[in-house]
Amino acid sequence: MILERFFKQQWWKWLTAVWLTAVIIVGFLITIPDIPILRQTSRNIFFHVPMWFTMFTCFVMSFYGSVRYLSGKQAHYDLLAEAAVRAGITFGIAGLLTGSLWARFTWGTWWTFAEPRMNLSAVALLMYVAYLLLRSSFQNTEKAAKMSAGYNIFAFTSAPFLFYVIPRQLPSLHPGAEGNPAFSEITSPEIRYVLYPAFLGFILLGIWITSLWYRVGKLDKEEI
Amino acid sequence: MTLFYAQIILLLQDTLTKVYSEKWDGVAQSGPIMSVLESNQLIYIVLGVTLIIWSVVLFSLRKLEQRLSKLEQTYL
Repeated sequence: MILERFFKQQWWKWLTAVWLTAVIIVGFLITIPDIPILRQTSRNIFFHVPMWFTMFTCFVMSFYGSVRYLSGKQAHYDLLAEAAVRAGITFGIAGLLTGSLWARFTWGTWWTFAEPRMNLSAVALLMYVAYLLLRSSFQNTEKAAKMSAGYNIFAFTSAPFLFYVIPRQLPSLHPGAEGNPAFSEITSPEIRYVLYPAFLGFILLGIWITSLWYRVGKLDKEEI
Repeated sequence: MTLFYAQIILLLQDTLTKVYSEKWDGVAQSGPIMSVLESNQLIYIVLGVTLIIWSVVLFSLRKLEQRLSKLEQTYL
């Protein structure tokens, strides 16, 4: 598998390390517009939003793995699906934590059940946690792979509604709701200079973590 | 039971600040660390802490990578 060879290469991992270090340094030192209420917390955009994009990338990889597994029954695709879900959940939790931190300084609370995007994102993440629980509940590995691949396709097709569609229909403080654009032409160029490289850096980090889980899964299959 | 509620009420009261508030008077303004913390240079401290966390994450990833490579060479 081409992906497996790519997972073992080192150059892109070094690139990720250097790239993200640069993103962190520039992200904290760049002069950003002083927006009321947000103030210096605006810098959190360089972490919070890329976390969610990375999570989505991991879930796309996982969906691809599950579809390929169901169409060809090749075990490495099932391993890829599981590894990517694990990495995706990691980044989802990081997204929730950075979001909660941001909420504390802008809305005055760590968590509010009145905020649909916050809560539905947590629910969507639990759906993926259920994927891992489903996998571990089978003794037969082939059956586990088949059932969890089917479930993963269901989770992937439902997730956009929980993360995006439903929260947009409900009144919300979170940027992206009606009359409160999350990212638009009014977003300052300075923020874009760091945000776009941050997307790339964190997505590469997500692929790196997926590769580690994949390799652990492969060794586990050999029953070491 | 009454003792339990009394303890809860005692816990809810912020006696710590009351006791130590006078002792902190003037301390916040003294010393190079506090003056940096109170100035606009705080962003450098946030950056420093973030970089420390990031280097620990990177170190752990590299370590894991090396261990996995060793295991793969032995068993696969």
